[in-house]
Amino acid sequence: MGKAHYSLLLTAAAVLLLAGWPLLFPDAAHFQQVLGLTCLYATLALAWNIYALSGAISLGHAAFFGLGAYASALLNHYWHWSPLLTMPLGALAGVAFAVFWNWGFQRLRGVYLGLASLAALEIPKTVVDNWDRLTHGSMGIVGLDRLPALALGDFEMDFGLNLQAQYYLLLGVMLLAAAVHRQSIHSRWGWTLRAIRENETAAQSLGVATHRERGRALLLSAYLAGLSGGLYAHIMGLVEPALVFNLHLSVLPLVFSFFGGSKMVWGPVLGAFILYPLEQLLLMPLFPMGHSALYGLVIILTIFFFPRGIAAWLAANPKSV
Amino acid sequence: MAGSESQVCLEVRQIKKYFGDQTVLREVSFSLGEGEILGLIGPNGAGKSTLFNIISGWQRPDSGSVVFFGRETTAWPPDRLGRAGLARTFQSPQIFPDMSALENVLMGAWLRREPRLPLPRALEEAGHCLFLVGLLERRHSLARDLPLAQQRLVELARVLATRPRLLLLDEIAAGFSLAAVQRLAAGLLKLRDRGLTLLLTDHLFTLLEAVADRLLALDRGEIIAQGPPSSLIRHPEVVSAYLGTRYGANAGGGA
Amino acid sequence: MWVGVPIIFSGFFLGSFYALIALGFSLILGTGRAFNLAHGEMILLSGYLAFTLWQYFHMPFFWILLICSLALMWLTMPLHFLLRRLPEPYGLNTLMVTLGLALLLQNLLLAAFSADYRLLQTDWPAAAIPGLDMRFPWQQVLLIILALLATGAVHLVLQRTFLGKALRATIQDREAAQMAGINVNRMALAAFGLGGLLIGLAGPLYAQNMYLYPAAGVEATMIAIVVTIFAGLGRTRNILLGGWLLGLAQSAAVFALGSKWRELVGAALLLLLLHFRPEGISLKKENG
Repeated sequence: MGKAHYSLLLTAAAVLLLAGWPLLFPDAAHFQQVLGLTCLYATLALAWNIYALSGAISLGHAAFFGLGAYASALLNHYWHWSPLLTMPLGALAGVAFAVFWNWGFQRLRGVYLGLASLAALEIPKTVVDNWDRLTHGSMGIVGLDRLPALALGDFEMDFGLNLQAQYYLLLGVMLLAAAVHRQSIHSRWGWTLRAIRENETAAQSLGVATHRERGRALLLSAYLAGLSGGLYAHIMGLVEPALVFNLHLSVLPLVFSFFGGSKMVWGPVLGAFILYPLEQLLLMPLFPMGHSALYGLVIILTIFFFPRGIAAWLAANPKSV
Repeated sequence: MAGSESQVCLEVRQIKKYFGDQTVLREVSFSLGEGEILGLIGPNGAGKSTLFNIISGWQRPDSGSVVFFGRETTAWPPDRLGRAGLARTFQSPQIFPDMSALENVLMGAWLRREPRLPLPRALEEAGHCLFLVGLLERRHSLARDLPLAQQRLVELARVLATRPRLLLLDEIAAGFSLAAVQRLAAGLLKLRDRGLTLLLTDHLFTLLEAVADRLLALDRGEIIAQGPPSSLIRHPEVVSAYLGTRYGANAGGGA
Repeated sequence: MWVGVPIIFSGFFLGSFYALIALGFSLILGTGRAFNLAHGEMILLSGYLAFTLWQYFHMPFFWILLICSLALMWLTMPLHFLLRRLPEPYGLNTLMVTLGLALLLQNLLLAAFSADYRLLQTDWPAAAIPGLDMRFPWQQVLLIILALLATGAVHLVLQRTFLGKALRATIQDREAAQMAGINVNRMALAAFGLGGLLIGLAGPLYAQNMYLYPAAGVEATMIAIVVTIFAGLGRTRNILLGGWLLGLAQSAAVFALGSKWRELVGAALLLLLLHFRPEGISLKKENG
C-alpha cells in the first residue's frame, strides 16, 4: 500500500510540474512549443505502446498518424469543418486501416509482423501521393485551419496561436491517452493483453480470443495515433505525404517506449520527455543536420543495456503489480 | 463402461489424421462419461499428443468428429473450447514466464467469462487453486524461475481455476517424485468427486494406476486394448507395443 | 518497337541489381540469423564513399570498386560481434538494433553529405545494341555484368568450396551443423564478411546508376527483404529469379501507372508473400 501511495504522489508531482512550469515562464515560447510537441509525440508513443502491450512490435504506426492527419485535413479543406470535429473523426481513417491490418496480418508474429507493418506504411503513402485530384499529391494541402480558440466568459484560450494554450491542450490530450494506457495495463483487459504477450498458447487455452483482443488493442492504438496525426496537421497548418507518412514517425514512438520502458505506465511519456527535448533543444542547435542520429544510438544502447527501459531500471524493483 | 448411466462428456468418433503420407491416427473412437477418469497409454509416437490436440482444438482431424457435451466441436478453435469448459495442460508447460505463480493462476480465475469474478474473489480462488497443488508458499516466485515440475503444477492450478468440466492432462506427472505423484493422485480423485472429468496420459503407470477408472492403449494410431488398469497392464499386445518400441532398434519410429 | 522491349530491358537491369542487393542480406540472415535493417544504409555508405573517391580524389572506377568492397567488408564484420551479444527474442532484437543503426547511419550521411541528390557521373559512351533501336549506357552494362558475375561467384562459392558447404549446412540447420563440428559462429562471421563485400560492391554501382540521398536506404532494404523471402535462404538461383521478377514488376508498374507507384510494388509483394507464408522463411524446410 505504501508503494502505491508513493507512486501516486510521484505522478501527482510530475503532472503538477508539467502543468505549472509555463506559468512560471510565460515567455519561454520556444520551450512551450517543443514541450507541446513532446506531449504530442508522447501521445503517439502511448498509442504505439497499447498495441505493443499485446506483444506486437509495429514499424507502421506512421500510417495511422498520416491517415488521421490527412482525413482531418481533407474534411477541413473541403467542407471547412472545425478541427475540433475533424480531428476525432479523421482518426477513424486510421482505425479503418487498422481493421484491414488486423485482418491481413492475423497470422504474422514477431519479426514478420514488424516487416509487414513496415511495408504496410507504403500503401496509404503511395495512394495519398498519387491521388492528385483529392489530395493534391506530393504538394500536400496547405492553409488548414489552425486549432480554434475557446472562450469561457472572459477567459480565452487560443489553441492555435497562443503557444501556452496549445501546450495545455496537448498536455491534456496526452494525460487522457496516459489514462487509457494505464487502463490497458492494470485493468482485466490489460492483463488479458499481458497474458497474450507472455504466452499466446496459454492465453488461448484459457479461453482468451487472442486475435480479437489484439485487434481491440490495435484499433485503440490506431485511433490515438490518428488523433495525434490530426493534431499535428492543424498545429502545422499543412500536410504532405512525405511529412506525415514518414518512417521517422513509426520509429519515434518505438524509441520512446523502449527507452522509457514499454511495460511501465509512464514509460513512453518518460522516454518522450527525456529524448525529444534533448534532441530539439540541445542537439539541433549543435548539429543542424543529423541530430536524429540520437534516436538510432538510443535504441541500440537501450536494447543492450536497459532492455526493460530506464523506468524499470530506475525503480529498485522492476516488478509492477 | 464406468460412466454409462450418467451424461456423456466427450465422444470421439472415428478420428483420422495424416501428416503427409503418414497415418498418425486411424479411426480412433471412444467416449468418456461425466465424472470418469480415463487414462491414455501408448509408446512415443502412438498418437497421444495428436489426439489431445484434436480434442482441444489445436489441430483438425482429416475425418471424424469430436462431440463435447452433445455439441460437435471438431472445428472449434481452442479458445472457444476453453470457454466451453474444456481445459488442458501441455507436455512442455505453457506458463506466463514473467508473472508470479499466483498471477499465473489468477489469469485462469480472472479472465474467465462465466462467471466473471471481481479481482478480490478471483485472487482468493487463485490462492485456493495454488494451495490445492501444494505451491502456495511459492506464490510470489516468478514462474520462469520455478523448476519444470513446479511449472507443471502452476499450469494445473491455472486450468483448475478456470473451473473446467473436462480436463486433459498431458504428462502432468513427468519428473515428479513418488510422493508427489501420490499427492497429485489424491488431489485428482477429490476433483473427480466434485464432478470433474479427466483424460490423462502418462509415461509411468504410477499415476494412472492410482486414479484411472479405465485405460485406453494406443499404438500407431489405433486403440489396441482397453479396460481397467490392473488387467490392461498385463495385456499381451500392450506389453509388446511397449517393449517392442522401447527396446527395438527404431524407437519412436511411428511419429 | 514493341513497348515491352524497354520494360523488359529495364526490368532485367533493375532485377540484376536487386539480386546483388539481396544476396548479402540473404547470407547474413541465413547464417547469422540477423535481420539487417541497416542493409540499405550500408549500401548508401559505400555509395557515398565511391562518390567521394570519384569526385574529390578522381580515382579510377575499378579501384573504387575494390576499395569500397574491402572497406564495407571490414565495417560489416564487427556487426557480427555486436549482434551476437543480443538476448532473446534474437530475431526481433536484431531487427531493432539494426533499425537503430540504419537511423544512425542515415543521419550521419545527412550530416556529412546533406540531403541533396548525388550521382557518380562517369562520362562513358553509350553502347548500341545490335539489331535494336536502343542505346544502353555503359554503366548499365557494367552493372549487369558485375551483378551477374557476383551472383555467379557466390553461387560457385556456396556450391563448390568447403567454406560454401559449411555455410550452406549452417543455413539449413544450425544445430545439426554445430553437431557436425562446424563452428557456426565463425560461419556467421564469414557470412557477414562476404555479405559486407557484396554490400560494398553494390555501393558504387548504386551511386553510378541511381541517385544517392540519405533516406534512400529504406527502399533498398525493402527490396532485399522481398527478394530474400521470395527466394528462401541460401538459394542463389531463386534470388536471381526473384530480383528479375521484382525488377520486371516495377518496370511494368512504372510504365503503366507512373514512377511514383514503384515503391509500392515491393511493399505489396512483401505483403502478399507474408500473407501466403506467414512464417516468412521457414528454415528447416529448405533443401539447398
